[in-house]
Amino acid sequence: MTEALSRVLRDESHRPAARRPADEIANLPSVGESAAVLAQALS
Amino acid sequence: MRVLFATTADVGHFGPVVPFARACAAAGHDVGVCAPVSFAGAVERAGFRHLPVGEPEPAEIGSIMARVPELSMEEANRVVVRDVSAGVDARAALPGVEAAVREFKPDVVAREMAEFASFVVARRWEVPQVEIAVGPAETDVAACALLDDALARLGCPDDAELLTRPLLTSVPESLDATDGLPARPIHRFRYEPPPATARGLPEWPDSDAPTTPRRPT
Repeated sequence: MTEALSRVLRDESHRPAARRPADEIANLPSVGESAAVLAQALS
Repeated sequence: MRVLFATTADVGHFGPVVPFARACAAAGHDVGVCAPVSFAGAVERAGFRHLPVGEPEPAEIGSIMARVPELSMEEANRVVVRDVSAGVDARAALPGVEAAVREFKPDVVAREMAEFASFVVARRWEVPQVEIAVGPAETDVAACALLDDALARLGCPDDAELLTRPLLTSVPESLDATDGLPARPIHRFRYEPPPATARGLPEWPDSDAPTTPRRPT
């Protein structure tokens, strides 16, 4: 039961690829780059 | 660049601020963190210069919080946001934030959503501001809707600008519904915490392993 539930929860095939948070997060700039963004936003 | 971060004495609010403060420090910027006196340890353990601000007496905040369990959820939220965060907390913090801005002379103030004194002071001193998200953007909008005249009582009659400042967030867009929210610049980032073992914590268990204890056989 636990394994079956675990498999269902891991299965993201029903979700549109563009809406997978994990994929989206992987493509975001690292938080380390926020200082540069901050400086740029203020200039 | 001098960056003044401002937080309430709440680990759940300060935590999302820390990666952004570390990023600024790592980039060579001068970082200070305004936080209540009782939160000095948390700020200093995170490696930042603490700029202390005042906080209400326990009896003062206690008398407000004692009412909360008897209220509806909406009214309880209103009391916490209006009367605590933007009320007694902000009123007590105001002189300390004012002193920090005067002495630290920040180029920018970066506040978390429940910290209102820095919004009032930065606006008065015309210091640019950004907000660090502690959760989905709609939480912020919901909180601001509960303010009533709280910021006016702090000397800031116009609180509409709260929701127009740039927002820096670690929440991905697919989990952050912004339809119908006021337009504002939103900058999204990926935060990868350092390995737990490097911070003296045990290694995280195998994520594929069962989360319930096995029965002895």
